Formats: sequence, structure tokens, C-alpha cells
Amino acid sequence: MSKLQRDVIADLRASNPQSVEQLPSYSKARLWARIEEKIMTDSTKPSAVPLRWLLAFSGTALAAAAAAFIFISSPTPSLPTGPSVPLGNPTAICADMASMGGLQARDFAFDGTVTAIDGDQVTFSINESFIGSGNQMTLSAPELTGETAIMLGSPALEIGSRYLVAGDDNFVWTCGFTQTYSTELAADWAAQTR
Amino acid sequence: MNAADKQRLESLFAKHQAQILAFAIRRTGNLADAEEVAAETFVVAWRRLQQLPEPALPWLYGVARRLIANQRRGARRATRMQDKLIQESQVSSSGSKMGIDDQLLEALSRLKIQDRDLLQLVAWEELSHDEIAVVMGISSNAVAIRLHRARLRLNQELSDSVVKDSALMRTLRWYKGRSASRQREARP
Repeated sequence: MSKLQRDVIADLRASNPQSVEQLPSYSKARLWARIEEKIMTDSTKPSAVPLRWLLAFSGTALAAAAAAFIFISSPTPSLPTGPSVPLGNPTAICADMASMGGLQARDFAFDGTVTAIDGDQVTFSINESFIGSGNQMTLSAPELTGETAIMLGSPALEIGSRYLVAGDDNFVWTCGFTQTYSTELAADWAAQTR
Repeated sequence: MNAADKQRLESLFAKHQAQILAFAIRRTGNLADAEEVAAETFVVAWRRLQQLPEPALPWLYGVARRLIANQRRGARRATRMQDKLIQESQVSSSGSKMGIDDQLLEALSRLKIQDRDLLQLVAWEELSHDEIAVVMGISSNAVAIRLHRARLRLNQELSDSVVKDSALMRTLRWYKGRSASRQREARP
């Protein structure tokens, strides 16, 4: 290490803004109760997905949200069998996303095939652009890649598979905005973004 | 929830909830958001209880990281990371802000998210390359290479800050000198 270079790791370690030993006051019991509530809601009332989440989507996005709802509400072969609990209630996060508007409000929307995945970065070969242009896009999709993919109402992305993808900036959106390709859904996306 | 699954999840929660909450506070900057992320992380763990790797902590960090990314984007918070980091430094109620290096955190905030994640995971979560590989979904070799580059980039950002500060200080000194000179000249 040159004289001019600091040991940034050591300095960062000293600047840790939140140590585990000095957590702010919080209730473990309350946090645990929150987890139990989410799990119980998922397992006993899958229809408890707030209507506002579904209503916040318009047109095709509503269909996508509905598809996502079905996706999270019923066992799917590609999903881990795990406990007898469906895919959970992603609405707390998806509700925020839905409030940003429907498909038409996105920076990009396209029909594309995944050609490469590098960590969070996914490269798509674009078959048809609905919003935006280009033959290829490399986008960030941290929720939809790797072993820890959380798949909030969207499928985990795989090389060679074809998807309908929408997002903003360089981020792929989950919550029904990215879906496995189908001709029906693609036609619907095209109509919605004309 | 059957008894065996509940016991397993409870055990996972007891073992790792503090680390996951601290991880989330460092990145969201507030306890409410961090608690939501922590709760969602354990719900995802519940869904995949049968597939959880051992050790589970890097995997849990990976899930929490993705939830935070989603939350940030979903809410489309315009707050700059720089502000978030400053907020983060204010979250701790312990008063342990003596070691916080604002210049370093500001330089960190100017890095790309991938670089920032790597450096934070090494420094704050104190993870090994193999563990970071699990969190970020890349190979250990890629972690090593990218970490090396991230360190260089952070050092470069810090050097740039010093240069900018020096230039600012020179300007200030010149301005003060000029003002003093004018005041002297103005005296009868």
C-alpha cells in the first residue's frame, strides 16, 4: 500500500454507523410478532393481498399484478417446496412500487431474452421494445437473480429464458412488472404502451 | 406453522436477528424501515426453510440486501446515499459517533452501488470473500478482484476530496488575505 493510500477497510470499520452491540431500542418480541403475523396472514388468508395494491396498477399492469397474485398464492413447481406456506405477502414493498404508476410510466419495457447474468447484472437481448429502444440492455435486477432471489411477484431470471421486462433507470422492477413471456401478455403490453 | 418449523425459525431469529437488523439500519438509516426489512427477511427464510444453507447468515444478508434494493427503488427515494449515510451515523443511540469519518463516508457514497456493497460487507459485516460471494451472487474470485478495485476507487475518491479541499482552502486563504489587505488599505 502506498503512503498516499489509506487502509480504507480499517477506516470504514472504525466508522461503522451501527454496531450490533449497540442497536437502538427495539422490541425483539414485537419484531417476532410481526414475522408471525406475516406468515400467518400468508398461510391462512392469501386473499388478504390489499386491494389497493391491485388497484394501483392499471390496464396490463393490473393483469400482471393479478398474475403475480396467482404466482404468490399458489404452489408453483419451480419454487421451493419448503414449509406449507405460500410465497408470502410482498405487498408492503409492492404497494410502494405500484404507487409509482403503471406500465406506461416506466422508463423501459421490452420483450427480451436473458443472455448473461453476472451477480445482480442481467443482460437482455431485446426482441421487441415497447418503451425505449435498443437491441441489448444490461440492467440491475438484484431481487431476481442468484440463490437469494426474493421473487416478489416476478420470476427468478435464468439465462436463455424470455421475459417481459419493465423498469426505471437501469433497474428491473419486480412486483408483476417483470413476467415470464407469453404471446398474450406481450400483445397486451404492446397495446398498453402504444 | 408446525411446531418443528416454528422452532427452527425461532432459533434462526434468535441467532441472527440483531445482525440482520443492524445490517438493515446501516443501509436504510432508520429503525422503522430496518424492522420491516428484517421481518421480511425472516419471512423469506421461512418460505425456504428446507433449503437454507449453513451457515445461514450470509444468505440472510443476501435476502436483506435485495429487499432493501427493492424498497429503495419502490419508494424511489430521492435521498442521496450521502444523506442516508449521515442519517445512518445518527441512528445509533449509543453516542458512539466519535469514530465516524464523514469524509470517508461521503467518498463511499460517491462509489457505484456494487463497490459500496462490497466495501461495506467487508468492513461492517466483516464477511469473508466466500461469504460475500453468497450475499452478492458472484464467485469468490470475482469478489477478490472487485474488492481490490473498489478499494482503489475509494482511495481515489478520497484523494479527489483532499485535492478539492486543498483548492478550497487556498481560495479561502487568498480571499481572507485580500480582504485583510483591503481593510488595511482602507484605513486612514
